[in-house]
Amino acid sequence: MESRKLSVRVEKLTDFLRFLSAAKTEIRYSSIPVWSVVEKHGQGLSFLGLCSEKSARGDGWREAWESSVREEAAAEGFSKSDLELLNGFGAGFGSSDTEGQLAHFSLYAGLTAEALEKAKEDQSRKSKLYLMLGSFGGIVAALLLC
Amino acid sequence: MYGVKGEDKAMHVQKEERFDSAAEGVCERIRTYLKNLPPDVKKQTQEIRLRINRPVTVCCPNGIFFIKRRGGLNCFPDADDLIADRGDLEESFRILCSYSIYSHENEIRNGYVTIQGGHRAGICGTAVLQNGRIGGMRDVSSVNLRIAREIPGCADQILTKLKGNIAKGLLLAGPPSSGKTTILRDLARQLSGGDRGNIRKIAVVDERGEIAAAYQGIPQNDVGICCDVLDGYPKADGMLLAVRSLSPQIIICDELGAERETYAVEQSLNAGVGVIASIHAGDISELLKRRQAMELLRTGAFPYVAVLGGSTAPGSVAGIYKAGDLLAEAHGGDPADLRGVSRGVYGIA
Repeated sequence: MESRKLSVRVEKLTDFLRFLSAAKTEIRYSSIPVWSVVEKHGQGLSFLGLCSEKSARGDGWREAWESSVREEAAAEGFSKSDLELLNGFGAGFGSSDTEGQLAHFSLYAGLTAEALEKAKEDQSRKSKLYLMLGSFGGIVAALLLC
Repeated sequence: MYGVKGEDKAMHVQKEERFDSAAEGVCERIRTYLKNLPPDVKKQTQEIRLRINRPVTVCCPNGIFFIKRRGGLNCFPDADDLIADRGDLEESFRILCSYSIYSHENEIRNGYVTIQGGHRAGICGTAVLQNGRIGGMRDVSSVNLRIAREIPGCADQILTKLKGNIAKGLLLAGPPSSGKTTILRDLARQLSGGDRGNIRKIAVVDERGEIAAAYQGIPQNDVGICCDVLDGYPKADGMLLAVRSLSPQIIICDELGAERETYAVEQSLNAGVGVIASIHAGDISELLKRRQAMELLRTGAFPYVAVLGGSTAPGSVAGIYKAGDLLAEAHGGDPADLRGVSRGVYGIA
């Protein structure tokens, strides 16, 4: 179960990194508004889908982003520190000119890549541990039964 | 106001809806007050104005009114006025930009943002200069939200007078809020829809998104069935592009003035395309004093000039003139040759 959580986190951070890359290109070349960017490129992440829905319902963008992160991102597999990263990104998303946005995306792409590296390390280190514990537990249980 | 006799219930409802859709562009706190205004006020409102630490006002043809905190309006400011603070202005600015400042960079530099529905918000703040040119804006201090109106039939007067000659070109002149854009929109609708004779291929160059108010590529205003909309294109580039690739019979665009635009008008004329455009001018004498207006008339692309009444009577035509007569007047010709400038050659006043 714990091992699964670690791999889900890696998956989600990878998806978010992919979203950042697509969104950055979209902003650079088509200048579409934030909710449109999320609607177009956020299918892989359910918190982005929720944010898009909330925004379409008429919620303010900032509010829609923050509540979606709070309600959906944690359940989706992001860690506590990832949630802070997502909120930080949301606070600056759309609030500056193109140059500012490109810099903002680069910064958060870097931070997400760092978090992803860490998540991968955790996954390889801890999943081995969980595997060993599981195997050991299995052997002990088998010995006890014998 | 024009068309009062013909205004039916549907038109009243539409005007109210237009006000409400424009009010979506301001922060929630002020929007609540605006939405609770009486329907009669909503129908007449031309502008909603927010100024930092100043009362929120609505501008109607018969004056400026102050919104009260306890609801309703007053003709004079007092202690009960609804005051817009910095937070209101900042949040309104974010909403006007759809929380996407980057997608409105050029508009902000030019001091306005067009929102869904074609309403235009003039934005005022502190200029941020880069290499001596306006690079952006900070500290938004006031917002002027102009409500876009769609009034089918408001161009009837001009179309009836000019008949088929309108295809040769027309320059609409009038002060701000005199209904220039509203008339251009109706001209596009009627000419491209075949309401007046043959259906004509129209290209609307909508730099500020006010004529067609295209949203995600779909015009929000009725500009007729044979109308191509170049949304967001600078006027000069849009006109040249239209001539090259859309083979229009008439090009319609708003607020001409720059040199490049005069060149584009000439190119359109040389390609056999009529141009219908507008220009700011308080009245005919102001128009004659404007260098840009004279240059446009000299191109020969505008055989006729329609001068609109003021903001107290938006859409009313004060006079229609022949460009040749105006040029003669500007070059010191005998005023008598103008056959009554005050009334216009077609006698509309």
